[in-house]
Amino acid sequence: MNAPLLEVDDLKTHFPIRAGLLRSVVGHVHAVDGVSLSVQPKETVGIVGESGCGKTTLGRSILRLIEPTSGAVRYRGEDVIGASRQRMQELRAEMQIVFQDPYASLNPRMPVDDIIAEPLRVHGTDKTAARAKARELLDAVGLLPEHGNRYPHEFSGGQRQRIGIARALSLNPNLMILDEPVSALDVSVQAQVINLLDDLQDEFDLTYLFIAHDLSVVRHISDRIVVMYLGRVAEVADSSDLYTSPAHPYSHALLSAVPVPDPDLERDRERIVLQGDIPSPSDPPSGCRFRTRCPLAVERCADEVPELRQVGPGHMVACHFPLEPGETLIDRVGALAV
Amino acid sequence: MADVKTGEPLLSVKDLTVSFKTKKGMAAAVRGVSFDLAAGESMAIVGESGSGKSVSSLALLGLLPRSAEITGSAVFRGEELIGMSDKKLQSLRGRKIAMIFQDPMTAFNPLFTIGDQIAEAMEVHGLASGKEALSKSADLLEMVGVPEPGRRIHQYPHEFSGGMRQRAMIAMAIANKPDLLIADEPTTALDVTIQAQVMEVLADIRGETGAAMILITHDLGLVAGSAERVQVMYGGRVFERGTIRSIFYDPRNPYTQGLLSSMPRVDNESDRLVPIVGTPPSLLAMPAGCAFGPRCQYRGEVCGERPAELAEVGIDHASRCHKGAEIPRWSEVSA
Amino acid sequence: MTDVIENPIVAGASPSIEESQGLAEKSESVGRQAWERFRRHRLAIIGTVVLIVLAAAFWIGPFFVSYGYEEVNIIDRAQGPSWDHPFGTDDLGRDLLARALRGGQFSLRIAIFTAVLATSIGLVMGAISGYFAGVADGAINFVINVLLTLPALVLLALLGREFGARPNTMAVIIALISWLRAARLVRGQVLSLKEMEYVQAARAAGAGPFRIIRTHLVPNLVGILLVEVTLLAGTAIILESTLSFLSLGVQPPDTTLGTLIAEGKSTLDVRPSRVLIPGGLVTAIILSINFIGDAMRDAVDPKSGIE
Repeated sequence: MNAPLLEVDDLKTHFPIRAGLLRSVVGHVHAVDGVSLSVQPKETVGIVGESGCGKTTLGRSILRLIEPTSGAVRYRGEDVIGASRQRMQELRAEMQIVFQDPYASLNPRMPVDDIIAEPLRVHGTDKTAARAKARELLDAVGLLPEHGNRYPHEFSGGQRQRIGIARALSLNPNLMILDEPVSALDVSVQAQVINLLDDLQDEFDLTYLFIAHDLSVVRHISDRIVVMYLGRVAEVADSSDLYTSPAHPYSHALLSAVPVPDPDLERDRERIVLQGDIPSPSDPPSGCRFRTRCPLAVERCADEVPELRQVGPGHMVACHFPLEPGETLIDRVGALAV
Repeated sequence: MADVKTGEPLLSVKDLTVSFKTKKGMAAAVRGVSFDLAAGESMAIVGESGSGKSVSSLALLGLLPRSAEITGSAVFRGEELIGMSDKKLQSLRGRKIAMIFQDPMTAFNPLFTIGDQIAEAMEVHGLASGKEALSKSADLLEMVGVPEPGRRIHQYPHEFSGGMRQRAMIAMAIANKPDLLIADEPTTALDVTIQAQVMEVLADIRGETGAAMILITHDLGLVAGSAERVQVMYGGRVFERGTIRSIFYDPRNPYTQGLLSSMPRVDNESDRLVPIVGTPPSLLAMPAGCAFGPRCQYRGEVCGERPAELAEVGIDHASRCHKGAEIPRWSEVSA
Repeated sequence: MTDVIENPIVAGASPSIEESQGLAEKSESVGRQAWERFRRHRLAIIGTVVLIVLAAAFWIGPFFVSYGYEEVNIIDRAQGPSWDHPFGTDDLGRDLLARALRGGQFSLRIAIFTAVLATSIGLVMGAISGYFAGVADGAINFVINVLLTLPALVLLALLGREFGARPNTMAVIIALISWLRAARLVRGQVLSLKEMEYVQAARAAGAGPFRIIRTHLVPNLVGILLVEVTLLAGTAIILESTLSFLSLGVQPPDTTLGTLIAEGKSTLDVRPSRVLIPGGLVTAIILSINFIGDAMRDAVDPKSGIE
């Protein structure tokens, strides 16, 4: 294995919950609660999970848009969390982010070429050069360079997302954190942006951390996938391994819940419908976070936090009773019932 | 089309059009939609933003703002809905036709308990009142899988999670045993595991009450598992309609084919998606001729001149396309 | 608008009508577009003209009036409008036209100066308190809350007695107690704006707080600030009149429109013109400023261009 481009080690980001007259801290939201992962150069790692799993906070904590509570983030071996203000500014040129909402992520009062040029201006490029580069980038993301003097509202959602991508590209980053970049888009436009991301990765040798809730999209774009649940990593596996032999009961249930555009498959599928709601990250269950909804949970799951451990090459799972390759959750539940 | 269960359709929509007056002129949101829905049947309306999929059902229920101009006909159990008095519509809404919305938070009044609001839905139509209505609402919550319904009827909407609120809305919708449920993106705001729960509840409920359903969604995956017939809408028109099998295994319209091939699928690996070029058109700037024309790879001269007619291409299967005969079959496209 | 397609060869093939229209209208500069948006507000154009005419009259007019504003002429006192005194005279026989012009000068100065100053203080305080949160926010909120609990009029009276009398100091004093609402507005707006993803994007690009405030927050605050300026201008004129009425404001023989109204009130039954004339001028000033503010809010919003 090569040296990883990005390493995250036991990262925790907790938000205080304040209440009362004196705004005293009455608890914490454990948004990210001990996440470790590593990303190789030019790889696409997907981070998938449902609301409250901490995937968005994780992405922002890595960039220190939100300061993490503890843990380490290393970029090419260099500590990011402890970096000085000035070093951080330099590092930000290497790590960029694309946001979910193509409406909220572009300043409505700025023409598009200024939006794309802003990172360059922050890093000291003069106005004319920055604008010229912005027009180049518009071309790179499939927009017409002469549209640079338009305002964001004059573009459609898909076009706006391209503008957001162009802005992230302006500093020639190595790592791009893509936070739900296509989930606000219409299906037919979504595919355009996914293909664009594919092309840009080849063209600019980019490494992607692709955060999304849509498993179909994540499977399509990722080499490896990290499944998160309530602030922790449940499973890490190569994209195809995860889909063919998920080891964590949660991953399995999540996959089986995704609808497939095929009526026969839908009808014949063994669907595991999980019971209950996702618990609140301000009061997560003890032991295994998933135990309250897990059909396999036993006493041990409440007492003991399952460590992330290897179950196959590059395949890690945090479960006391992981599924064997080929075994489904329904098989296991059936076997236990007998 | 009405052949599914009985002869007479439950709902028969003919040539429905809806336009809005805006500062920039008339925006035609729905441009001639017709369909029949049999009692107990489940039909999906699929489309992207601006396709008119939601507007058409809101129009049926008289839930559009006054600036909307509605023409055409919609006969529900022998009664014409278009132009019906507000009072009569009100007695129908929530009684014979119930609606389930995308955002359950805004569908409930934050100041009243869930139980009171479900009970009120019954009281309004004089079907139950007081204690009886409240205890019925607990039964309804139990039916839709809300745990501890006796306690939860006394809770406020903010004390319910998103999934639970959506169940509560379903409970409210079925309170008066409607004949028709209109579910407008009922799971779009929900996580996928919660979506699976809610769709299961909807299927069970329909099994028990025999209500017909119109499911409005952008998600073709969701349709595959929960509808018998599908209408694919684009630019205010039905571009293709058919049974679920014909739409998914033998789509004839270039737009339907494009939608299916641009979707990444969780159950297989594809190297590259085949997107549809361009963006769905704005209501205020509909292309002349076929609305999908500018994005269509098969477009010809005629496509820019006039809209195509919806033409039968098989049993209970119709497609709106000038180039119908030239469009390759799905088995060739997807191979 | 048609999405531009990845493959440039295909891209050229399907420009929609809207696309080509958009391109045509796009050759104009940003300033020109803003002017176009401003120009559509007919009332604002009228307001601008009215304000310019009034300002010219207030500052240039006195040179053409044969009486001075402080010139006492006992014989001609308490007259109605005439050729000699078009607005009439007051109880001391001072020419009311000359006094109205002098008063208009002071009122307009105080209105504009106060509004701009108070809004600026509010902007700075609100932006700091909203953006940096923590100690700065706590301190600024404390000051605001204390000032809000003090009765404004008493405060004004005290300050007015101490430093008052000159129009500029009056304006500063009124501004010092009128920035509170602006600060709160700005703070609230900043709190929500700074969570916007484009602000996060700027931070991710390495932009510092002052750059973010300048390029992302302030331009998005301009709309509400302009409304605030126009509202404050009105309030300032009224506050100033109140003070002058309590003889704590501009001191005689100087005058303001508010003072003139107050003075005319006692003879309202016999000589309504003494109230109606300065009252009309105040109304014209406030309305003009309001219309201009409305139009400017639209002018600075690129989105309002397409509706």
